[in-house]
This record gives sequence, C-alpha cells and structure tokens, in this order.
Amino acid sequence: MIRGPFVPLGILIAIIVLAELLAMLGVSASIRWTVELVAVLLCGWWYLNQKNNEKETKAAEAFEAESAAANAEVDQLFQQLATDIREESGEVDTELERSTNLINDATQTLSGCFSQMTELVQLQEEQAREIYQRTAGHCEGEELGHGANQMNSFAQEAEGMLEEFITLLVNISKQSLEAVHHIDDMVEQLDGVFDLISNVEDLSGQTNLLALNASIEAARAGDMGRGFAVVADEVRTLSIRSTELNQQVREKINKAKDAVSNVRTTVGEMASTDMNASLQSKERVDAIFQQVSETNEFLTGTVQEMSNTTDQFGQVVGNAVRSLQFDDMVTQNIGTAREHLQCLIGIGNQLTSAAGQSSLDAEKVANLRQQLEQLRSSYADSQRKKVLSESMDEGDVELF
Amino acid sequence: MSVQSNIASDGKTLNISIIGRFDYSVHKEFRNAYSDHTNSRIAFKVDLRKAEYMDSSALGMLLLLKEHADKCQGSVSLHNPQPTVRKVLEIANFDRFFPIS
Repeated sequence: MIRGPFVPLGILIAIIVLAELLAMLGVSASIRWTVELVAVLLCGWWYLNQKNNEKETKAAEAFEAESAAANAEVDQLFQQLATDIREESGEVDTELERSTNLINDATQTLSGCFSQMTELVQLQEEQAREIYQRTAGHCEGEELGHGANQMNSFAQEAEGMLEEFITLLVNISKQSLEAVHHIDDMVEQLDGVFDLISNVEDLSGQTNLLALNASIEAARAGDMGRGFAVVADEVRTLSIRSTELNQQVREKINKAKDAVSNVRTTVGEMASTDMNASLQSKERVDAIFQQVSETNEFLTGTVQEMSNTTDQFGQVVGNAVRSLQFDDMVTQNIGTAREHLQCLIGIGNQLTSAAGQSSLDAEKVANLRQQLEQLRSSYADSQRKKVLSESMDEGDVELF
Repeated sequence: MSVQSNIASDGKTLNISIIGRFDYSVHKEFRNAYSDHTNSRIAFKVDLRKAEYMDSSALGMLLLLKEHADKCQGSVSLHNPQPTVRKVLEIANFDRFFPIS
C-alpha cells in the first residue's frame, strides 16, 4: 500500500490538471484559482491529518509493545512469586513438622528422665534412712535388736559392767576393812594375853622367891628340914620351868602377832584400790555415749535435711514437668502456623492460575482478597487461643 | 591427826573431818572416831572439804560407818567434797546411799 504524502500529492496534481483542463475549456480564472486553492488546502490538510494519524498509530503500537512486554514480565514475576511462595511454604511446613516431632520426642525423653530422677532421689532418701536406722538405732518396731544399736548397747553394757565392777571393788574394800577391824580386835585380845602372861610371870617370880626362902629356912632347921629343902628345891625348879614356859608362850604369841600383822597388811592392800583407773574407764564410756548421741543427732539432722531436699527436688521436678507443657502449646502453635502455610500455598496456587491470564479480573482479585481475609481472621482466632493458654503456670501437674 | 571428830553438845551429831589423803592409812583413826558413839538416831556428818584423795578403802570405810549408823538408827551425810573426790563418790553411786552436799 502506498502511504505518506504520495496519495494527496497525486490527488492534488490530478485536481490541478483537472482545473487547468477546465480553464482551457473556458471556465473563469477565479473558479480555476479557487478550485486549485481549495484543492491545495484540502491536500495540505489531508496530508497533515494523515501524518498525524501515522504518528498516533506509531505511538499506540509502541505502547502496545511496551505494555505486552511489561505484562509478560509481571506475569513471569507472579509465576516466580507463586512458585517461591509454594516451595518456601512447603519447606517451612516440612521444617515445622520435623520440629514438632523433635519437640515431642524430646519432651517424652525429658518426662521420662524427670520421673526417673524423682524415683532415684526417693531411692536415695530411702537408702539414707536405712543407713541412719542401722547406725543410729532409730528403728520402728521390733526390728531394732540385731546390730542396729550396737554402739549404744555396747556403751550401755560397758557402763553396766563398770558399775558392777566398782560395786564389787567397794564391797571388797568394805569386807577387807571389816576383816582388818576383826584382826585389830584380835590383836587387842592378844595384847590382853600378854598382860595375863606377865601376871603369870610375876607369880612365877614370887614362887621362886618363896621357894628360895623355904630352902633357906630348911637349911636353918638342919637335918629336920632336909625333906622340906627337897620340896623347896622342887618348887623352885617348877617356878623356873614355869618362867621358861611363859617365855615360850610370849615368843609364840609374838610370832602370831607378826603373822596377824602380815595378814592385816595384806588385807589392807586388798582394801585399797586406786579409783583413777575406774574413773578413766567411766570417762571413756561417757565419751562413747556422748559420741553416739552426737552421731545420732547429726544423722537425725542430716536425714531430715535430706528429706527436705528430696521434697524440694520433687517440687523443682514438678515445675520442670509443668514447663514441659510448652510442648502442647508449641505443637498447637506450629499446627496453626502450618494451617496458615496451607493458606499461603493456596494463595500461591491462585496467583499461579491468575498469572496465566493476560490480566487479573475483578473476580480473581475478590477471591484473593477473600483468601487473605480468611487468613487474617483465622490468625486473629489463633492469637486469641494463645492468650487463653498463656496462664499455664496457674495449673498444677501430677508427675507421670 | 588426819581424822578429827567432835560431838555436838546434845550428843546427837558427830562431825568427822578428813584432812589429806582419805585412804587405808586412816582407817583405824576413822573407826575410832565413830565406834564409841552409839547414841540412838545419831547423825554422822563427814566433812570432806580437806580430803584431797579418796580410794576404794575410803568408800569401804564410809559403808562401814553407814552399817554402824544403821545399827543405832542413825544417819550419815557427806559434805563439801572436792571435784575429784565427788567424782569418785559419783562413780560408786554413793549419791544413792548418802546425801551429799
């Protein structure tokens, strides 16, 4: 097709040729010039108009091309975006699922550990109690007897024996002293015998003198007194023998006195026992008692403390187990997040299908808006639930 | 004299003081201090303030004094023992037989 200025130029030339022909045929010059002028003007206008149209068309074409390119780019972006959303959401969903599983596993393990810890601590406390009962002798019921209270019963036995020993010692002393008293009494009697002996000695002396006088008198009487002199001699001999006898008795009794004195010394030694050894033993036994009592006190205190510690441990474990409830909440939260992700995936799909078309029509936009609205409202719903469950600490939880 | 004694004017109380070691060496003196006093319901007061030492024979002597006192319905009390002497009395459970002050 021939375009541009050639068509109006051709027409102009044709009109001018026609006007010249008409002029040649006799048409007035003014008409001829008028026609030619009009033709020139028409031709100019047409040309200008044509030119203008051409420009507009070019601009429209350029715009169209640009817009198509832009659309294609947006389309591509949309598709990319949708794909990204879908893929990333899928990844996030997988990660969330994995996290949920991990948390559930960890929570179960932790719960198991905590309950085991509680059991172990209780076992430990029982063992401590048993040690306490065996060593300190604090035992319920009749089970005490064998070895439970060894230290205590040993100390009691020792004290009993020591007491018996001291009683025996004192009794021996008392009886020995009694014996010494009897010996002293006996020695007094022996001293009495000595008095008697000296009396007898006096008698012998006097008899001797008498006999001497009698023999003097007999000598003076001469033959008549000879018989009397014999008797007087005999009496004198008797008195001398009596004196000798007395001497022997005195010697014997003196020996007896020595022997009794030895007995007295021996018995006296028996009566005298130093009490320091007994005192020391007593102090040792008392020390053992004291030690046993202190040990008992210490053990009682420690076992009580241990019991308290176990209680506290139980409370701490209880708190820990209660804290493990976060598992439920986290699982719930992750569930909500996954729902949102599903929503996002849906939106992504919508976007993909929307991107396939040259433009987004009103219905699709409305659909997308509705989806977004749904997402927002369900998010708000889950936020409300979360606020409700945040008062977790108020509840108490049994150990499982 | 390691053993001193004096009888109260009413004859109802005999005070016996031990000076120095209260052991076998004084047994005769101790016995002599009380053996002649047989008044009914007599109170024997043994002052141990100056007794420095006491062995088992002293305990025996006190028991014999008690026997003597029992015979005449009397009583025996111990006074002012020093710590070491008090320990010996306590270990022999004499606080059960005698009032100690």
